[in-house]
Amino acid sequence: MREKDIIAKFTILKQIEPRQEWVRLTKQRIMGVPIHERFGFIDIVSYPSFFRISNLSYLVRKPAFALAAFILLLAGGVALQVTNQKLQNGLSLAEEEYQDTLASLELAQAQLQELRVAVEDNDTEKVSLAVKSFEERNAQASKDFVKLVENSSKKALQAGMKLVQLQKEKSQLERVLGTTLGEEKNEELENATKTLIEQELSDLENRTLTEEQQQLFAEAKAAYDDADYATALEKVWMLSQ
Amino acid sequence: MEEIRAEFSRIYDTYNGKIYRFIYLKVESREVAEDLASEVFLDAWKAFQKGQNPEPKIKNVQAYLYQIARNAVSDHHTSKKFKTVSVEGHMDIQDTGDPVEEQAAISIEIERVRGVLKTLKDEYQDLIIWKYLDELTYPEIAQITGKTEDTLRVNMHRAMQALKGRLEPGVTPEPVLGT
Repeated sequence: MREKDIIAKFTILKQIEPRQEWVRLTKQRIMGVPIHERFGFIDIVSYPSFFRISNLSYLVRKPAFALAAFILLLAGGVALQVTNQKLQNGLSLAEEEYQDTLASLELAQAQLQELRVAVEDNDTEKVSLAVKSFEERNAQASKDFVKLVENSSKKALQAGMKLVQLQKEKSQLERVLGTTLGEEKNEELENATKTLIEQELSDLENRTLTEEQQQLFAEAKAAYDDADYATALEKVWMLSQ
Repeated sequence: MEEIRAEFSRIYDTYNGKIYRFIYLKVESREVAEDLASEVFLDAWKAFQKGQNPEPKIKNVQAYLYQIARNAVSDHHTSKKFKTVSVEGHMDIQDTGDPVEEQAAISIEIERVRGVLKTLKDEYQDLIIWKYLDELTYPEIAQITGKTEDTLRVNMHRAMQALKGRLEPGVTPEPVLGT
């Protein structure tokens, strides 16, 4: 083998890439994310210390600053109104995210169906195309779901149930194909599902449950403890109905 | 502070793939590579913040990142704490749009070439990664290693000699290759 051929062999290693989730999360973890980037409208980090309540006692000792203080309070009132308006916008954003997630899930579901038909028809060309499309849509649906859990867990349960159903059907088809569709393990998705279940279980713990519901709750908790998050989510969803 | 953040963000975006790959080719699993690469960038970020005033302390960011990556890998190999980490076959490769079967074949070939690379001594592995994967020049590699360009060329020649015949299809890499 010539040197040129050896070099050519090694260039295949250029295809090794880090996971995109890792790239993003590591950057966030290392450099931190400013609060305003996370919430979009409340910049707590850059809030000047001058505006802290404890500093108002200073104004009592300096009456000449009373007018300035009054103006500041007035401005504060206006700012509060604006913030309330933005909070309302935040709520409608959650609804929008919920609708986006449902749409992504439906698209992924439709693509899975297309793939299933291509497999049944033994149409290899269509299978290849459908696999790629499904992987993209499934990844998008998972991404939207993770975002939804982060921003609006209340809306996430219904979407979560649809996602579990989609993953079940995906697993069935993977057995037929003898290969994995997309990532074998999506840690981000798993963590989001886990978080969602934890929140739901915590809510349910404080409620009065019937005997049947208590049984379901125990099953959900057991599945959660076994890290069987799909089953746990299913049980939690049944409890919420 | 925002300027420093933006500058480091650019550095991170430019080098995270290369540093991850450099580490991944030398350790046993994706998880370990991710952990070590995270450590590299965390250390670099701390150093970057400290060194910004009054003038940048890190003159050559690329060389600096590779140096701490090498140290991280070296520490990993000598440390016992990571020795129980399981080996995972899963690998992240670029989505080339090829059918599933072709992607699987690429993964197998990558794993084989990676196996051959790991049979070389560390110095040769580094050289091949920098020269043929990261496409660094000899002067750039010299900045990372502190060796002369002539020494690097001789070492590269030796690495190539050692590799001859080992990358033929069907050849199983032997565990150790000497100098």
